[in-house]
Amino acid sequence: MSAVARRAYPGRRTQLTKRYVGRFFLSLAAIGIGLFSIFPFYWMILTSIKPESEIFTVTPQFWTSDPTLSRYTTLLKGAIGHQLLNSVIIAGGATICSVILGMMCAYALSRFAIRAKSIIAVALLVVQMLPSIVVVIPLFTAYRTIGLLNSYTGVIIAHTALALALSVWLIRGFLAGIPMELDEAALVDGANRFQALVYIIFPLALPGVAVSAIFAFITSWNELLLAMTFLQQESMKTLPGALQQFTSQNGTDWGGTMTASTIFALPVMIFFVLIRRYLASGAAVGAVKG
Amino acid sequence: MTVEAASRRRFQLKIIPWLLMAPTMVGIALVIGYPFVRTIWLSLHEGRGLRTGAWVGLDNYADMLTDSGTQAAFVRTVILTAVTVIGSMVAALLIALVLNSGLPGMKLLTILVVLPWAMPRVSAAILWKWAFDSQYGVVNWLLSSLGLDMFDGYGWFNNGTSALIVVAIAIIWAKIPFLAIAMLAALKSVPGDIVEAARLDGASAFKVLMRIKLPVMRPVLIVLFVLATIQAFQAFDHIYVMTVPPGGPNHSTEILSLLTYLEAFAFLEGGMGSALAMLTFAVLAVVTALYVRLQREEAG
Repeated sequence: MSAVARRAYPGRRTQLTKRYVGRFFLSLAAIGIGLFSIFPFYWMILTSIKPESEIFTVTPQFWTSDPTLSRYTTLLKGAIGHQLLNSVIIAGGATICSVILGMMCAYALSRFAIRAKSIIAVALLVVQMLPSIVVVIPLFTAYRTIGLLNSYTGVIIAHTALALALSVWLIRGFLAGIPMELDEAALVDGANRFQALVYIIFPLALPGVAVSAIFAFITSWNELLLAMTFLQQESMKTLPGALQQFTSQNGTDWGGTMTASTIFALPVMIFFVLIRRYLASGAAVGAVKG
Repeated sequence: MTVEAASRRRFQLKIIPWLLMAPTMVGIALVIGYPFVRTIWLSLHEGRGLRTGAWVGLDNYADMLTDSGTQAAFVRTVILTAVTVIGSMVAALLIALVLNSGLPGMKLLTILVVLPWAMPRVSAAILWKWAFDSQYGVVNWLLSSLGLDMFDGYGWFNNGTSALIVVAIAIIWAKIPFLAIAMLAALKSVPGDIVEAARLDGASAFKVLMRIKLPVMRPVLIVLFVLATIQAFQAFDHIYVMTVPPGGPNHSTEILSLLTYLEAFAFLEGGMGSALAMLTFAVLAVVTALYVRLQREEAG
């Protein structure tokens, strides 16, 4: 804007004041949002390193002068380490399975002329909407008959199925943006379908694959109902089940719970900060494409 | 290309996609399709310790619909769903607007907003329970130091309504990250020059939001709304973890998903549990059907 135009614009001063007031309130809101998002984490980690006497105070202590890591050493020596491993194995297994199967299915849906294409796509969406409570009872009986209760395989299969439909949808959305000419060029150059998929398409669809991997991982990492129902042995429990054991009829061991929660939350949080770029794009594609 | 090679190629084009889709289809059919059909079947039988008992026709459904406990649980589920969906959608929209405002530091704030997503759901539920603890909870301390003395030692989990309020807050907190990030992405797709032009013409920020931004975001908002409703209606973890005993005190926080679980695995009434599962399914099927219709109208 030129100097002349600036002077000739009468309401500018009031507009500017208005803008500064607006920005002030926006900043306040932003700080509030930040606190609301982050405070629970802070409180969780703080409680886990507070000495017991500072946890049970009527006026909460927002800082600790006497941090202790004793809960971590005690817990990691106990069953928690093993249960963390269970969670990693199950979530990792379900993630790998659902991404590989999802990639194959999405590739088929986006690259071949299939007559029932739209029916399959809608069916997948409907499957995604089925609550797991609808399948848990018969699945439990079936697992008991074929001996999949208290096994990694059983839960990995169930979690894969839960995450798979969304995987297909997400990866399909990304594949749609990759020109078909690329596969055709690879095929003309003598690659077979499998090579085209693995060497040409997979690297290009990597953001989509990453997003669906994240979704699958979180689905499985968080899943309580199926894991709790199928894994009843103490040594097989996953994270959600493990956290339950700190609560008994006599009350809750808050320090212990918060320590276990931190142990389970930290790896995922770090992972999230690392891959945040993919998260946003994935949420966008997932939301826009269904 | 020889005739033989051409026909082999056509055969490949027909067979390969089905081979690629087979594992997904078989897996979903076995893990979701079969149990789903089986649940319908079970719901028409007496369930004895998860074994299929005698055929009872629609008796389970009749019992379920006339049972006052189930009716109360149904109403509670609907209210909890409505409150958490609307609450989280509105909060997420406001947060997305702030994140999109172009103030300095918004990239950092976006990361902070996403973080709760990484918090395991059960951990977050336990954390909220701790924050609302009657004696040592941060919330009671905050409220009573703001002068609201009635919250000094207030037992949030001693009655159903206040317990459900806490559960709703915990659920909303857990839902915000995904919704806010998706809405932020949608907001970024609003053409900047149109907003600029409207502002120059003297439109207020509120008017720009209502007349330009929301209409552009509409398709995304509808999808998010449907997804959030479906998830909220089957919410299980928060109630299971936060109320003691699950659904307590005195059944006052029982929702459909919890009731289904208790019937099937605590009271070992597989038939009744299956009927309850089908009730959840019926409601979600209606929501899904409405969504599909809405989408068709949008498209046509």
